Amino acid sequence: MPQVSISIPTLLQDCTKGQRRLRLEAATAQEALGKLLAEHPLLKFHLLDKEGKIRPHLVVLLEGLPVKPSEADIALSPDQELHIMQAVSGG
Amino acid sequence: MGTIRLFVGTEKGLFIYSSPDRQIWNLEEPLLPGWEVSSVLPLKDKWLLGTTHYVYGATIRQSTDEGKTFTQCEASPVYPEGSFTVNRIWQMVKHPLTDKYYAGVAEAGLFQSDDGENWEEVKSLSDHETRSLWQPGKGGLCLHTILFHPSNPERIWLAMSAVGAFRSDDGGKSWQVKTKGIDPVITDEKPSEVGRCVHKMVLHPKNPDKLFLQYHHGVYASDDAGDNWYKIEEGLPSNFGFPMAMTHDEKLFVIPLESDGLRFSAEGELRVFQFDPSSKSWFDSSEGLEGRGNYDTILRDAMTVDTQASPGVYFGTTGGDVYARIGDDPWQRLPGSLPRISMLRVLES
Repeated sequence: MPQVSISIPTLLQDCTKGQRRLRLEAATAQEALGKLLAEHPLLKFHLLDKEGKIRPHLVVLLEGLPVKPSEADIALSPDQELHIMQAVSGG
Repeated sequence: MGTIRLFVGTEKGLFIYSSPDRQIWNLEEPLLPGWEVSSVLPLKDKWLLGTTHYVYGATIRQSTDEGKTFTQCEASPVYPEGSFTVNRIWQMVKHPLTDKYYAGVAEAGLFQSDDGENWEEVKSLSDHETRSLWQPGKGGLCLHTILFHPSNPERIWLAMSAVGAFRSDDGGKSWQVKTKGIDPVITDEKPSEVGRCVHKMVLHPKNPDKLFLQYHHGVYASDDAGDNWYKIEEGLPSNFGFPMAMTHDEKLFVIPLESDGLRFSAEGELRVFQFDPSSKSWFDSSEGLEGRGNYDTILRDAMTVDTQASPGVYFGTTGGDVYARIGDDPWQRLPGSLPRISMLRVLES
């Protein structure tokens, strides 16, 4: 199973004991997110809504492109990086 | 006097002023920058912070090392699925007699905890017979005030916008609406004992039968623990405002705003008014403030007091200015210009 990285927003570092970027083994984006939340359950409240979906205004990026919920089973390659980012709008 | 710390919760983090003498204030680097800090319970062994973010939600964070690190409480206040949503932690207090922790939240409800980390809903309030009539005001549907009787652990008061004042005489097992004498905000609705937009309520420090509240359009007092309320407004330029605070030497303060529709300093002048109980009227107590040309707002939790022999009174504005008045000295503006200020609390050590 490939080793990948996943980075989380700065504001949520106190839910991961100060880690901003984590390494884990995951075959898909969905599996990576599941493992992240299993290892750091305090993140659940901030990332998921009551129905277990990614909160509004949050996006998961793979190699700079958003991963749509329908594409969450996309296969990951070794050393790819997922970013969880807060969407910002306005100016 | 030890060190006085003034905790200032803002839209973009927690700021702390510290002072050895309440004359010279040092502004420290912000803590939890990026989070709105909507409430703080600063205790000697730990600090609890109500944190809110429009994306990440509302939770309680704790520090046991004076703000060097924070951890999110694993069981922050959450309503059961299919019920209400906690979108802001408005107030956290610790009962001086029972050591229980209480949190008032929006959507309006009360949570309690034995340790400050694991919170459970006070169902007796959520299931109150008037619950279906509760409606939000402009600041949301929020439980913002929790007061305790100093010697009777069974008696607790709550205040909610835009609902009213409540009292429990059995330690929170049941709640009675205490709004007799308070005008409803909307007068053309079917008469109800709720629908009273209490902005802030305080308890007299020496007489627990006396309460005061700043209302949506009125300032009220009660001499019978909230059973009956009457207006005390003489001398005020406006009866609209948010904060209210009282010192241990019985000085009661409000900061009038122009009106419901114009929520800035009454008559364009930042002024604090103090209550004179002998004449039952208010007088201007603003010496040292900057005078006319001020159009700030002071939010309901943005005024507080300390417990020093010569008590200090503090308030912060939505424009990010913080003011302090020590004893009968003139007000002084503290250094710095902060983000929009939500709340102030003092920790004395």
